[in-house]
Amino acid sequence: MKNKLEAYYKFFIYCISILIFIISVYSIIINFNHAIFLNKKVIVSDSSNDYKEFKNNIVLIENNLDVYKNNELYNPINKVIFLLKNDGVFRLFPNDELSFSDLYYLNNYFKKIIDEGWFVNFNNNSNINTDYYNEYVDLLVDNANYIDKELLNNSNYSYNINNNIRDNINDDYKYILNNYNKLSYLILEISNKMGDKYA
Amino acid sequence: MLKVVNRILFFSKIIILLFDFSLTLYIMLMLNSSREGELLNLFLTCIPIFLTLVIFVISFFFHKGTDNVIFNSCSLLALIAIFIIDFRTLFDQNMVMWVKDNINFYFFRNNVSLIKMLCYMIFIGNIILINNDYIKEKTKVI
Repeated sequence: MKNKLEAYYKFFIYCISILIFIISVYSIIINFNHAIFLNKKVIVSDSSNDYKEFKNNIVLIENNLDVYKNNELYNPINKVIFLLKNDGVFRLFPNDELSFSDLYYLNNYFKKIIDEGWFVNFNNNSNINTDYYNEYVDLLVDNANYIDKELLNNSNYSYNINNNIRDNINDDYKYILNNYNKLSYLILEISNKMGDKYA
Repeated sequence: MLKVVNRILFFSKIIILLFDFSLTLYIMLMLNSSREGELLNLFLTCIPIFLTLVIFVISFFFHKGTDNVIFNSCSLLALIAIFIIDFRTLFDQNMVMWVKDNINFYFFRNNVSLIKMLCYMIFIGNIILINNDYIKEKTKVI
């Protein structure tokens, strides 16, 4: 009877051991695979035109600011430009090798620019339709939130590991650069209107 | 020879389990301090690891349930897997959610069930081994 019990115990122990072995080996392999996947820096495809436009817009806005220094919008626009010209952003944009965390940084920084730099409450006397611009900025923030989710999904533990990382990073990078570009166009338009008013 | 291997495996198991326990407790405490209402989760997550620690200590002091090479090596592998999960939660800076909080709670939450499952399995396996040794001893006496 006791021998039988011992045999049962042994069988049970081997079953548990095999189960533990399979689960832990699977977990270790998946973890290493995921870590290597996320560690890769990907060379993003050539989007230098978008980047050139973005840089050009900033130069144009700065030129506008130089001409209309006594304007009531000078300070808020200057602040946005200051935030846009952040070293981190300019270090990452022309750089071709990016990882998911770099993209996350860029996207988060975009939201920070909107939070800190966007001049929602500017003077209503100016000839600028604030509602239109605020709605447009809301749209850009929505885009940024969407990219946040995308990044989270793409770097998720149990999702997309076998997908092409290059495509994922490329797409997200284009989205983010596009967002920055749109914001720069918006500010350029505002600074132009401001110029028309004070010309 | 087999006995020496078993001893080495057993001691490395205890050392890695201590690391696992402290790292998991630290992560759960940080999770509790940064988000409210996670205190119950803290206990539920740490109980299996604590139980495993207790059963290891018992088998260490009573010299029972330490002589199965296959089980010892498999449970060492499981503890290493748990250690990797804890380590990545705390230090893998490439994960997007790590950048947000400096500890990747999201990743940890995804893996909590795996940690619990492995610990409970090791715990049950150890109890069976201790029981088995006890029965063997009794038959020898008779």
